[in-house]
Amino acid sequence: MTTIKVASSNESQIALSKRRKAEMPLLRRLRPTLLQLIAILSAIAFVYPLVWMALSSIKPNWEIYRAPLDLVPDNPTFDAYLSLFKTTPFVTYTINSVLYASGGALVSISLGMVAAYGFSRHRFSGRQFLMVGILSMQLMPGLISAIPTYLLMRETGLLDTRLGLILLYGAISVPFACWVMKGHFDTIPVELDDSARMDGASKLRTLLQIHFPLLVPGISSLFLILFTQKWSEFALASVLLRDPDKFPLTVGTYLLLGPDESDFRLMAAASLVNIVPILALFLFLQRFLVSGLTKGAVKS
Amino acid sequence: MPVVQRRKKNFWRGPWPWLAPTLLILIVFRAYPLGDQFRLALTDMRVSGGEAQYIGLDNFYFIASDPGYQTALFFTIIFTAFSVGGSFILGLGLALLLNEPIRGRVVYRTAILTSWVISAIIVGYIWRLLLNESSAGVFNALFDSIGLQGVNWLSSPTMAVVSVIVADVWRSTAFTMIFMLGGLQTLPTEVLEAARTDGAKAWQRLLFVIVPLLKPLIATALIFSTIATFNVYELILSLTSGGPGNATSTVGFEMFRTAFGGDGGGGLGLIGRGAAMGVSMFMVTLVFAILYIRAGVFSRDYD
Repeated sequence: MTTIKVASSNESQIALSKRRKAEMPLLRRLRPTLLQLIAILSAIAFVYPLVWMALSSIKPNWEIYRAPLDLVPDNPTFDAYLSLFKTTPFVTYTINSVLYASGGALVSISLGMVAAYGFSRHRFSGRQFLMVGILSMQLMPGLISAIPTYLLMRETGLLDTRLGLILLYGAISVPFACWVMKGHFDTIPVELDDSARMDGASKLRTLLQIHFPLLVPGISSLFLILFTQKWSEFALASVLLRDPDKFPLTVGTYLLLGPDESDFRLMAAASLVNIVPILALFLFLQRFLVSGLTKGAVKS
Repeated sequence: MPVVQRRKKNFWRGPWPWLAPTLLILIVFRAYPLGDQFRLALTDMRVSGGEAQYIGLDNFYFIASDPGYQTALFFTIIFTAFSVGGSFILGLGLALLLNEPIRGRVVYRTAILTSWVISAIIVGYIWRLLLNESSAGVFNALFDSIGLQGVNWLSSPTMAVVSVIVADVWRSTAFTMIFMLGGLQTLPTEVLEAARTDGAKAWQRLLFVIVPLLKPLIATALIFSTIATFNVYELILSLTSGGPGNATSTVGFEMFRTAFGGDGGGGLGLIGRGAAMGVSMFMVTLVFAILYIRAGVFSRDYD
């Protein structure tokens, strides 16, 4: 009895494994293809809208409405771009965007780096409290306090000034910059500071001549992340700026398109002008950006 | 005299000179406005100026019984729940996918990440084009090509709600993906191998090994995206302007409309009432910020 049982269970196991063997190779062979397919479809879901929009912006109107799904336009026209750059100061908007994005990022990084040095190299009472306080500032979107910020700027004469917006952008991301830079400082051995001090270098000199070169990769990826964030900002800029000559691209685009623009091509063209510079930057430097982003995200 | 001098020297040697600029800019441009908002919420200040009167909690009483604010709050909660949930599931799925050794995964990752660098206000315009209800919109053209009737993506209140959520999921999935991908790459491979040799199926490995290991990171991602989604404004402004009617108006959108008034947005210039809405957004954000900080304090020291 027992032997028979063992034999039968053995048999069934063999049968099972046979069946598995018959199934597994198929699944295993299919799996990479399947994953590849899903990956391609997901990538299309994120890129197709942009490609379609880019091509729509150079299609003549009748093609837009007759054959919206045709990717390649039969009679490309650059009318939308011509009218965009002729009738609206999109070049000025672009320059402003670059100014605000880089200005804000630089303010955050320079202040954040110095503070990060203080946190990394000093132990003092209230240190943890301050660091948590700075962290909680990072979690508060700037948009929440748009109204009191508007009044603050009005009272200090910073309303409708480039300086005001840059300082505000800088203040908003100082916490993030400080946390990320502190992470970088912590990886630099203190012995390096000590030997610099022995050679008679002041702390500031140590920071600028010894630490800074080591921090350049971290600073560059941080700069890219902050630049991208500021480039996209709309809410605060739209409240704090009044003079169209000072508008960044986002606000200028809203000024042009508003809530109910119906010119299809103009909307596509204006959106594309917003996207192309930042997308180009991102594609060239994405390795930098991604490593900095995950590092900052995991650490802070 | 010598004592004073030593103190002075100690001050300059200590941490405060390094921290002062950051603390100063944070206090002036961040902490002060956040606090000032509470004061403003108790006044009837208008954007046009004039003497502001202290009116106690009237602004809060008003918004609590204002149907416009109630609808906006209700929609904001629904929107946040679905958008955070949707983008988390998709983002985690894509992260798991791109963590596999598939060919060209850097290309796929880059393609998906492009949506992350686009400004919310532009994402709104992109989706207004995609969802266009004339024959030019991609979705209706696709429906048409397979013989289905077009959908009123933005002019029907129900569909507008769905559309806004889909657009926001499209925008925020990449963030969750890159966040979780970073986490997946730090997972100890031995643990996953051990689970595999123990015969754990893929979904078991995900639920009982990967998710518990990534719990802190998952909590962080969810809190970050909840804060960002709850305070949404730009996407709504360019995609639907809160419409049709009031169907997709959010608290952030109501705040801006009340205080500053968009183009044709029926702006009232009521700084005080807008500040009361800002206070409500601050309180909700504060809850999630405290959740995040408490989790952080216990799981890692600030060193």
